[in-house]
Amino acid sequence: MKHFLQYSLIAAIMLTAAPASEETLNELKVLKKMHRELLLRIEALEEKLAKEQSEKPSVATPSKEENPVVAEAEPENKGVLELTSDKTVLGVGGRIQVDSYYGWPEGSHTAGGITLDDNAAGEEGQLGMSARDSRLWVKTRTPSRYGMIRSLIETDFWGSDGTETVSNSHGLRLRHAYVQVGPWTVGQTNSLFNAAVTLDTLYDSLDYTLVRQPLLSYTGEHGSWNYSVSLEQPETTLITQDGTKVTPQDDKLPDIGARVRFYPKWGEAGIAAMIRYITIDQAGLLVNSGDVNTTADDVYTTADDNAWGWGVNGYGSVRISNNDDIRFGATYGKGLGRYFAYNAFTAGSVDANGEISLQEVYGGHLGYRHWWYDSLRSTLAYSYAATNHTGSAANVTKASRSLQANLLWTPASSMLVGIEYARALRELESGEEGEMELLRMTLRYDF
Amino acid sequence: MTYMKQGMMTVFCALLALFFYGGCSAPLEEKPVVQVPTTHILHEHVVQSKDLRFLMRSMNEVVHEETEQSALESDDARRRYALRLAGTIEEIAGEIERYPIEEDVLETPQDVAQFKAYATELFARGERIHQIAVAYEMEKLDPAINQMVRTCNACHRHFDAHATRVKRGER
Repeated sequence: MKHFLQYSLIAAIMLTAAPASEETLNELKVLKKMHRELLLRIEALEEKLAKEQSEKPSVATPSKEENPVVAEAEPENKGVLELTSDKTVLGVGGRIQVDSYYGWPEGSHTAGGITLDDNAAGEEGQLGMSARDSRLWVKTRTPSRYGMIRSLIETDFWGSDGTETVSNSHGLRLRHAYVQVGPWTVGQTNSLFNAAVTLDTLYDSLDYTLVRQPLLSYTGEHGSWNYSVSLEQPETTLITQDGTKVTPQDDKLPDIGARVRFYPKWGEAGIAAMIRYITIDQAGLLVNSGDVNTTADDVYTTADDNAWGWGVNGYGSVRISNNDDIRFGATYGKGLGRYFAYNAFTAGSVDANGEISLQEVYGGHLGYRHWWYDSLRSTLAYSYAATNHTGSAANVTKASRSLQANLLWTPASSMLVGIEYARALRELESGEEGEMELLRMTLRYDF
Repeated sequence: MTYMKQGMMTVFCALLALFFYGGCSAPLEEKPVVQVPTTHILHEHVVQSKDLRFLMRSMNEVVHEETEQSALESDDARRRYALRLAGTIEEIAGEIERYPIEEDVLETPQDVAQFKAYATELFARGERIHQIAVAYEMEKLDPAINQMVRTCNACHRHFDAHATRVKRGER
């Protein structure tokens, strides 16, 4: 533009040029002066414009693909099956799980289920397949002035056994049925004593704490802390002198649970405690003298007895790097019974006089998990469960231990494919031992 | 039967060894999150990005890890991760807003403005995740996280390309 004006001015001067008179020369001088001033003004304007452009935060307009603001927003309820009525939202979901497992010899990966060396069946191994761990649930959510009201009914297929020969028509079983109103929970669900952080394995650790039962609990939250107390359904399990497990059905008070959980950046930790009142009355519990069959030596309890059982359970996970964490847990208790190791050890023993002697149990697990990729991980774990048995029965479990290693793949966020190997050992009070190996493959799809 | 047992064990060990080897050769941690020259603020951001990825991965694995949890307990666990995720996102966005960006990384005022525009958008995404978690609207969580991931990816792509140009001396 500058040059265009310059040339225009010169051309205009040339065109209008006449024989040089003094007047003409003066006009020419004025025009030249004007020309210089115009050029200066143009340059100043151009500089100003350039400066303004450089100072302006001219955010480059990203393409639709690059900028999510420009991109069409993804609907927030995409892929969700829900029914909404007034304020209540009802959701349906579940999972399909197919397990395939092989055991040498046949048995189960629980502290009391490991097959002994001289097992009567004399089995070498057994291949099994099952879809019974599939689940179905319905849940609701309703905001209220008391806080959020949430409810859940959840089932699996570990109910009545179906026959494997024809249809495998296993029955539905209730897992959870409870409602939460703000901090209160009422109904059947996981006990507070259950570990909230467990091993990332297909088989549960031998010291696993799992009880689902009717309860009433209160949960509070404060920052990274969460604390709960509960009153839970009682159920005493005792062992007689001949090693028979009995449930007296004489419970008087609910089990009392308390739990504190902590969620720091490095992982999670929690501790739970349980107190329970264990009772037996003179209802005539048969206490066998030692023979398998009922004999004239058998006696029936006639006296009342009771005892306070208790236990603590600590657990956690520690992130040691972006791709590694350690998971651990330890349990100790006296009279803990069914809250520990799938009831492998009872709360106590009962003698011929009907007197209860509480059983001490302890165990723990330690697992190291490594993420190979975002979708592939492995865990190497060891678990242990044991008791100091107080009774005279010899055919009861004294201690069990297991080593597990797995490889788990999540090809999609809702799918898991895994393979796990476990080697487990069990020892009885009598000194008898058992050892088994297991290989399990699992496919799980959550919907 | 013994042969079968040994065979299955061999296959399992071979698979495990294969993945161990594969994992060692390409560990996740060495993947660069943002390819820009390291400065204080961006170093912090890289660390926080790893936290975010860890949180998102943990959130995705909730249903697979604790298999005895009820559906509501899984929701609670995901909700806790979502609140932490939202907190970390807002922290990142706040830091980017507050701190001056070094000129050797983001050369021009346009780059700075662009970076802060992404931070503002990220903050809004974090706010939305927080709102969803507080209201227990778990069915809306995944789409909201996807939106956040899009913002992160757009920003990373933009400044990854920028860093490449800086390295080549084109800027």
